[in-house]
Amino acid sequence: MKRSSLPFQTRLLLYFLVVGLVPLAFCVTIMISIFRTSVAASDQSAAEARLAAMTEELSERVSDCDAVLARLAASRSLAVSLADPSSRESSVYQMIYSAAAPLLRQAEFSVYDDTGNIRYTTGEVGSLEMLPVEWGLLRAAREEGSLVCDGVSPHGGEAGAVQLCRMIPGENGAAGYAIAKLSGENIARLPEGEYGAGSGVLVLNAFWEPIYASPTVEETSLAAELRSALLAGKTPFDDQGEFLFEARKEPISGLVLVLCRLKPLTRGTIQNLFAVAGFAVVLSFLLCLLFSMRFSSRTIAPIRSLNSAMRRMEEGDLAVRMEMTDADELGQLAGRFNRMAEKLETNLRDSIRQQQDLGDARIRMMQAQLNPHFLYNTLDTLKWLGKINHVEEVSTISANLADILRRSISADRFVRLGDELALLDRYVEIQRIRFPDKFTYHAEVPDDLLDATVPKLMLQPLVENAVIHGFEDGRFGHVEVTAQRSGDMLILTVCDNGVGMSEESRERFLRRTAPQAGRPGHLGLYNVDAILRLHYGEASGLQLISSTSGTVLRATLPMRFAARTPDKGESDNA
Amino acid sequence: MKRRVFAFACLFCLLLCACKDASAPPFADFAPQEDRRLTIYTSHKEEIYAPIVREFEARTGIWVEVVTGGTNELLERIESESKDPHCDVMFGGGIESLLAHAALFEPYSCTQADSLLPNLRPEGDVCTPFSTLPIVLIYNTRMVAPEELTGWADLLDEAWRGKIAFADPTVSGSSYTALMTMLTALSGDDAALLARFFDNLNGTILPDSGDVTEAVALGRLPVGVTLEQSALQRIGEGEHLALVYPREGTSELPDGTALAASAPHRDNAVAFLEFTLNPDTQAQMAKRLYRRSVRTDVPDRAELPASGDYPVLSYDVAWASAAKEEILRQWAELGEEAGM
Repeated sequence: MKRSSLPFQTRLLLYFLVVGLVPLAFCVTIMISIFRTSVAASDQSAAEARLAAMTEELSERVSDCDAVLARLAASRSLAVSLADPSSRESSVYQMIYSAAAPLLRQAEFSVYDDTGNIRYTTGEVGSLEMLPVEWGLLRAAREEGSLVCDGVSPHGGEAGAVQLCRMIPGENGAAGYAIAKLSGENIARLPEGEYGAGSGVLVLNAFWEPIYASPTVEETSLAAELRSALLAGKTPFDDQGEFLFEARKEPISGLVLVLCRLKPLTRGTIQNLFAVAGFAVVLSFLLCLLFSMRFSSRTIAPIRSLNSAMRRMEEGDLAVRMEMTDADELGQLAGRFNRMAEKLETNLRDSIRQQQDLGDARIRMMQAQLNPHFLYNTLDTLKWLGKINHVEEVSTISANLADILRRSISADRFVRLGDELALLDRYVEIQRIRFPDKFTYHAEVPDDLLDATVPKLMLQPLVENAVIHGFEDGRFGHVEVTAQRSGDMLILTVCDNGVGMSEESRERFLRRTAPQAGRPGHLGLYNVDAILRLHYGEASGLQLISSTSGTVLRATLPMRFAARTPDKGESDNA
Repeated sequence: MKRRVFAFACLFCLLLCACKDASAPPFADFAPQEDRRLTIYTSHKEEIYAPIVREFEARTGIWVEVVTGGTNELLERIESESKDPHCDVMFGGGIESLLAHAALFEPYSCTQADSLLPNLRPEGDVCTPFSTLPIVLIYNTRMVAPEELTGWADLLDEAWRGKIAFADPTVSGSSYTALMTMLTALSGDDAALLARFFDNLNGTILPDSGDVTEAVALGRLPVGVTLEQSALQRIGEGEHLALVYPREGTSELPDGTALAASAPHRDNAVAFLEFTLNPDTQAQMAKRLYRRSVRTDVPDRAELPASGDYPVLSYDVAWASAAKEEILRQWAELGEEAGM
């Protein structure tokens, strides 16, 4: 899959839309379709059942009428009466009424003579006083010799009617005709209550010409439209019309019953359904839009601020911190970033301080090396003056001091332990002259360790510390320097039995802060400690072992020998 | 990915199609076979054609599709449909209107010619006569005294200006026949007479021949020109109308039935043509419709004056049909000049 170049927000919106809209649109469309289909199917089957029932009833009515007509046609007395205009009417009427008795409310029965004049009727004579014998119903009945059916189309104010006719056979041809007339009113009673509101029924003749239309569809030219649609081969079930149609033929009379019913779902209903569906889709779309935007902005805002914080950090601003809002993954990320920034800042600050410390030490060393030759020569002169004037102490002090000075200004950073001990001897000799009978000094170093290398001038400040601070109160003390091997490590210990360190000094030493200038303190210890740690790492440095009755200072450093002195690649500028 | 989306869309469409309304009952089962059909173009009123068509259907089992309209309108329609003909029979229309469009019809000599009145069959049998139709003047008996309207000349009288019910001859064939009858009856230049008559109508031209009796019966226009049959029908219905056979004489032109050239259902069309001349049909027509039968063996209604009891002009059918286009053009021009 190609990597999308769309922004995160747009992609998120697209995913939301797919998830939110597609199933919704799918479900809604399917549901509407299923609804429409099932409603249409049930409506159609109901309509078919109604129409079948109506046709059945019409069939029944027609066959009942036919039975009456057949009885009339078979009646000898009726045929005789028709042939003889002077016959008694009442007996014939009696016969007609008894034959038609069960149907008198449903149909009118009339008897015409062979010239088409009406002779007997159970209804009103009205406009059917005379019927042509060479035209229409009577002619058809005569030609067919069986039941014929004809529809009278509604015309002017008159309702349509269905007429059934049978010829009454006479001696030569027709003696007359028996006609049953189902008026529009009678037909209207047939399907009463069987077609629902808004529906209607049409009774058409075999050629689909209208005979009867129920009041609901009476005003329209529906029958004509249906007929022309039928002839044009079109189906009258177009989407535009409001009606659906079912047609069924009544087998005896050949009449066609058409049930017109309103579509179960009007266009309005379907439009409403689609409107609701559309509304749901639009609502869903808006919700998708809203939530995708909110979600993406909630997600993206912390990422953006993290991004900009990182850029600021890249540019060197270590003070940058992120605001923590939530406790979720993004909040945790922000917290982690803050901690990382903090650590980085601390580290950097430490390393700057170390650099500064190193610089300070260098400056001090350089200051110490300032004009040392002049001092050295002066000391040499002092020594000779002491010898000339036989002041042996001055001579010794000067010689020792000169030796210390020479060693201290040498370019070497590391010296043999033996040389360091020799220098210590010089110092102790000077101090013995300064403070006679104040302390004793003893160094206990195995011979095999004399060649071990140690940082230059690391023992002298320790011993000085013991001499200067340990015996301040004028007591007599002892300073012991020992060296021993512990695996790969060389352990140097300077211990005294002096007053020990004050609480304040000890704490300051443990905090590794340099004593302030102008104040008495253990500057030497601090320096040695710093030098050791600079050379051998943080783990080295001085250990203050005891200070209750004297001080024990211990330095632990890697065992190295002159031949294997590590090449630091740095050159001192002495 | 694309393919998957496409497949999904296809499935969706398929489902939609499956759910579409599938209700189409077999309505077409009721439709008649092609050989049981007939298409009739008729300018007759419904009360004339409907019983005939129904009886024809009942007797033959042929389904008749009826297209109604004015004679000229229908003739134009047949002409315009010559490439894709629908019409089988042109039923109705003055014989000279049908002759004027002889090319649209297939000559047919009816089998019952022997029973027809003489001089009614047009030359070449382009059409078959159906009934004879004298042109008459009518008036509303409550608005006009009998002596006020006697003949064609009265229609040019200022007194009737704007009060004459006359159908548009470009639409109605009978109206054209009436116009030509008047031109024949009155002496003088035809074009001048036409202009005078048009002017006397004063812009009142009814759209259909059926409107004439209606307008006079309702008193909207006191006098009118129409067919004898239409007038008698309305009088029979009890309207306050009276008819006048013009003293200058009138025409007794038959209307006709013609077999359309290349009729889609020719056999049925011939059957219908014969049926219109059938004694039963002619008798029924004469009895029920105040029409004069074209058959020798069918009597007219008793109230009709016998042909010959009123002055009859010798009407030149050939001239009338030949001049039709020119006369109607002049009529249309007069209409344009009058700003209609």
